[in-house]
Amino acid sequence: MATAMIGLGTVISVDEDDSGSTFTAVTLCVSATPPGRERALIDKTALDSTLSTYAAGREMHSEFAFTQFWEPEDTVHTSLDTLFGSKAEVKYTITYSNTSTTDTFEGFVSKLAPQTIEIDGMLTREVTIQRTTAITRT
Amino acid sequence: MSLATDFIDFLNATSSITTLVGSRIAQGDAEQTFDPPYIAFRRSGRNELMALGGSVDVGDTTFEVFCVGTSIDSAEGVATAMHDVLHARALTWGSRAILGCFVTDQNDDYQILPSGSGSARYMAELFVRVFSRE
Repeated sequence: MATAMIGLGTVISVDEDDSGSTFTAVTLCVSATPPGRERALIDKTALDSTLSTYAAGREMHSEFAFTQFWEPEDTVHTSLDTLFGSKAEVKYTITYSNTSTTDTFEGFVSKLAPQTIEIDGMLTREVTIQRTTAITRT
Repeated sequence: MSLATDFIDFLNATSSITTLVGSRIAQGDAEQTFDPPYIAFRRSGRNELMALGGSVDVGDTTFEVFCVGTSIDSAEGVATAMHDVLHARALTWGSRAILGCFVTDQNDDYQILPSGSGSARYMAELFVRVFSRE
């Protein structure tokens, strides 16, 4: 029977040099939206059809976004700035809180969006990764 | 040391406070311990910030602070001094870095003392919100 899982314990990692061997956990992440999967819909409705119908097309692009408490001088946080600058497509993993399921895909950093700084709030930013490969679930 | 202990030590080391209340600063009910003016406070709770990986070791603690005097001017004078040294400041309490401290003013109150004493105690209440690492 399926077991409901909690978000606590989810780990986001990045393979900064795209070696496939060294992944660094992205620290202080407070929320994440894994990349969705959606297919293009190819219209195959004929003139005499009584119902619009579609064929399954290719899998469409999607993006991965997460929000982190942001420390501008932190090494791991700075590496995301470096990846934004280089446009490098590297591997990212999301290891879910059951610790046995990991999604791996490549992508590039497309957005680093610091959030509004409040007097009595923590510095946070949103990071967006554009997925460029299929998602491999292991 | 606890944050509350560091809070007391900080206030005891602040001349604008000790000028008004001396060392009459305590956590908990101080009514039986001190004559006014004095400062008593209680910890209302702590919100620990969380990340997906667990605690990030930063949280905000709220202290409910009662500045007690024999007149309303005395009580509010202590409250004003507390506001001036704490509000919207990053501080160091002992060896502990306070990332930010914020004070909000609450209702004033007074208490009639038992008959025969001929006086009342006045109280100015503050909420002190403290961002710190544990």
